[in-house]
Amino acid sequence: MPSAKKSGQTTIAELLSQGDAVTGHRSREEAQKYLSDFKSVVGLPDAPEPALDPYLAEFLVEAVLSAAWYQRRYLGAQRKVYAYIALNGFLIAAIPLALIGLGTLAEALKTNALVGQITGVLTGILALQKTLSTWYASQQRYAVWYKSAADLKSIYYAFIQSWGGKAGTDTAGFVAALKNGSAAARQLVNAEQLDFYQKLALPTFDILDMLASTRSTVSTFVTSIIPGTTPANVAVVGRNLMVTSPGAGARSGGPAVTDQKTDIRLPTVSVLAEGETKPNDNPYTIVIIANPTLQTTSSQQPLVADPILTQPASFQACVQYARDALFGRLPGQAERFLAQFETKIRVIAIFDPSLTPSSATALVAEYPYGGIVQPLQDAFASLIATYQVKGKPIKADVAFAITASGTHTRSSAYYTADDESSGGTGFKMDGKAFTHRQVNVSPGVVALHVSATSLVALHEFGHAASSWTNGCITDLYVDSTDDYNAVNVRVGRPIPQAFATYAGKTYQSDLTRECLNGYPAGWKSYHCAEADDRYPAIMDDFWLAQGKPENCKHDKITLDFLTDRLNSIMSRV
Amino acid sequence: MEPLKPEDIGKILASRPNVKIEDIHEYQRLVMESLRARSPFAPKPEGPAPAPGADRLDELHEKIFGSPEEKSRERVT
Repeated sequence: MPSAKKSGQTTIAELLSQGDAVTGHRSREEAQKYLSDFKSVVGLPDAPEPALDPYLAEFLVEAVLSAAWYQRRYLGAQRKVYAYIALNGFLIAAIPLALIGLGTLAEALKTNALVGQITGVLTGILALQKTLSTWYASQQRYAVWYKSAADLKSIYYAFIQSWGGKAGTDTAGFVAALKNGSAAARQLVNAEQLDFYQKLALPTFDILDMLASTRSTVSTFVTSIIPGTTPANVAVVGRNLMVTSPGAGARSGGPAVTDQKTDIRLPTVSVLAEGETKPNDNPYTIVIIANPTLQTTSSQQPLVADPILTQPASFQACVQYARDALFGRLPGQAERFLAQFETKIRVIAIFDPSLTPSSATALVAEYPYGGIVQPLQDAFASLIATYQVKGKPIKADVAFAITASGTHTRSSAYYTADDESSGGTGFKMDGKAFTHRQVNVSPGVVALHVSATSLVALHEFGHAASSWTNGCITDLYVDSTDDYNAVNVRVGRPIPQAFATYAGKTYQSDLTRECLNGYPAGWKSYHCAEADDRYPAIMDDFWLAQGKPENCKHDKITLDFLTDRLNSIMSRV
Repeated sequence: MEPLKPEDIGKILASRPNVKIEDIHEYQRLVMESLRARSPFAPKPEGPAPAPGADRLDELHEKIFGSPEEKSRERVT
């Protein structure tokens, strides 16, 4: 396309390539500078055209100058990124060298306090670096600017492709295309602005959190570089070294995290109940972990730190709620079958805000349908095993990941993936042989929203404690299928008197589901008889129970199945 | 999967007259089945492949919660 370049004048092509490096202003006055070049490109004479010039200027403002503005921001951010990478590179290279030098000094002075002081100073520097990273990431909308510039340029180039040198052939069509292009560009800019304002918020830095989460890592780092030193897991004031207990800072203990609202402090790993003493220290274990990384539905930021990591008080309250619901301590709770096992069950809470968002630490995803939080089952076992109790990696039978997703609040669970090579207690269900396996390859997992109440935790535990291959406990409030060897649902009409045989016992069907005004018309599934037929089963829609949800109990086959399965797992040696 | 709370179902039915309770039942069932199928540990079902439900799930989702365009309009207004 011919382009009329006047002496000293930037062309549109140069503007789009370099950005408006001088001002970034988007105004009609600014657009006038490029009017002549634009006219040349579309094949109009370089003379005032009162009928066309306003539309040409508007297009330049909306598409070309906007693209240049984004390009300028993007290139500026790119330069800052290079500088930032260089600074980080310098720190990476300089800190170990400085430490080696200081280590020699520590030996000469025969003092361990120097290590603590270095740890203190480095903690401050690295916490500051972390703070700047967080701030910088939120300020520099690198990807958004790049995309906006690219989209706006596309509008310009598509226009030029259609109308380059042809403006004079169809004036009405040319004006309409200019208007459409301007409108499309304006829409893009508006969308970006709306997104910007929605995300505009004061940065929230928890300084103590930053220092606490950085401290243990720095301590380990310093002592690994300076030979013959022991971890100083505190900052040193002057030359007075305050020594903490050995092991603090490792994943078995870890730095405490403070919730500024309530001033509570949580260790990384807390054993809330020891459970049964066993020769191999492998009691039935429930782990409740603050979800480190939330997988969102956003394509731009699919992995973010779960907000629960900044809410230790809420996490602690949710842990307490889950334990109460599981062991039958909610006010007026009717189902207390797990209470008989409570002294045998180990309960561990994990709260580790030092983890950075990654797919390896994402235990919960926002599911695109129904406001559900979905547990990412394959990540649980490996992440939990990075933490230790009594020097052994933690292995869970059931794990709850607590999330504070702001948009998805309905909890969900997956069944346990049994280790089919492990031992267990055999049983038959409707003539088919199964085993209550004692060991799993993946624990049963729950994504529990921090706002969960009532029987939600117990309902989800019902799913998670069952098995993908040796009998699953499924939802009863939908017209379920009996896939995956479902224990608590059968399919067919008319509903037979006998629901199923399990472990040599015949269970009756719930013929009417009267407590919920019957099975909906068209349903093919039916359920086992209730333990208390005045109320729905816990795996059914417990919210609809007369009086309150806590009146609900498990149906008869679910109760026996879960009891047998727990007994089998607890009998492992 | 936690059941939808009655108040949430009530809000949907009140705000979207073309949605029936049967739609919500079917939607919940499809959500449960699709969620279950996404676990890497879910055994492969035996026999012929199940009937595709993804389109129906999208259709019901849009009917119950509104299309992306509607949601976008709601946000702007």
